Amino acid sequence: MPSLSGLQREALLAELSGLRRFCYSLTGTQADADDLLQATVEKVLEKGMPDEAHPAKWAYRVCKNAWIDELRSREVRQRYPEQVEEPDGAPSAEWVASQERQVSAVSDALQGLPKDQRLALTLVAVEGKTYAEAAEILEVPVGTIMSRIARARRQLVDSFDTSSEE
Amino acid sequence: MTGDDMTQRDYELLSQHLDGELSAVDESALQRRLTTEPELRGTLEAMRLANSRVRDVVHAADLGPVPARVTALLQASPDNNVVPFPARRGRAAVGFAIAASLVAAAGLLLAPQWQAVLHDGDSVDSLLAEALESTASSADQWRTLPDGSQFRPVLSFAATSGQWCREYQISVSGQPSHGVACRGDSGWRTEVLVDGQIQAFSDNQYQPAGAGDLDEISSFINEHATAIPLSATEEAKLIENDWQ
Repeated sequence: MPSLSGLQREALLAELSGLRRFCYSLTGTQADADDLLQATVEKVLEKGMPDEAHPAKWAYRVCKNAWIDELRSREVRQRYPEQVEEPDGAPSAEWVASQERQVSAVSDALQGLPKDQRLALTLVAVEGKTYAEAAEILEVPVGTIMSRIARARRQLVDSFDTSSEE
Repeated sequence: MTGDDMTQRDYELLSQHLDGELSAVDESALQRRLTTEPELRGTLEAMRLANSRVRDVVHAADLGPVPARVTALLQASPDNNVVPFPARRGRAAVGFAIAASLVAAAGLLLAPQWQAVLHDGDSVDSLLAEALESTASSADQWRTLPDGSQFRPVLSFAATSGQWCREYQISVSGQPSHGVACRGDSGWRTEVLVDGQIQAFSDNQYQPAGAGDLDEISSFINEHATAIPLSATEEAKLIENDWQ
């Protein structure tokens, strides 16, 4: 029956911060990230983990599946977010406002990626996983990871180009 | 910044370059192209900027410490797995106020031959055995047995004895009871049974093992369960396969 060993629990505890950042990358909000993180830990505890499994990779995989399950189960959650509402009138010249808009634009662009691309990009570009590690976590070939990340970056570049022209 | 002449393969090469995933040969070839193709160079810079923006935004997010409720899940004793999970599945929405009596019914056999009695000689034992065999656990759905009794399996778990066990609630002629039965070669046997008054919780909060008035039931589960309760899917498969 599923049960985690002490070592597996310790390994997961050490990985929680990175896993939480991954959750944040996927969900876009801290509250949703924390819910996803909790769901991930619960699923790992519930289903157990093979002795030979790498705890971190296993947890990332469970997290990915939990997130996809969540997307499927929540029909109200849009795959592509609404456009950010621009304030009335001319854009603010204040530096802070500009920074906030930039952060918002980046976040929206990230959330606007197809989920498969966002998963791959987040694992590699944010979490620093290798293509091979990301492929193992997402259970797809390395070539697929490479292709998804390239497409994601291409869309991000296009998105940033468009936003800078507005 | 990015031209129409860029191919998907170009983006892949640049992306692999950013991630350090190019072979030495491909890296060398790319470097030669970068010196002669300004468009490729511009696209690389745009991708590099996009990459760092994404990384900066995520890493700069002030997430604070990992919520204590999450770390607590992993810091709990490995033998204490029974506590955290039914909440998400919404199980066990009913608690018991034990009427100061633990019914001396432990060890009653709820076998198909229906020789044992549970409540004043009526046939609820056989009906209970049949219900335990075939009814999925539920947070709030009660099943009416043929004799009018109300029955609700709460959860199922594997016992250290190797048997499958089920926590359940039953109300016979208005008399509620709460028990745990385990399935042996001869059928379902009630291992612990507590008389009590059913009290509905105000919400779907799980009454964790070891809490409040469920001490006898909780103690049994904590002592005998090998892990957390079965998921609904796992339980459904077992029921379908006659608990084999």
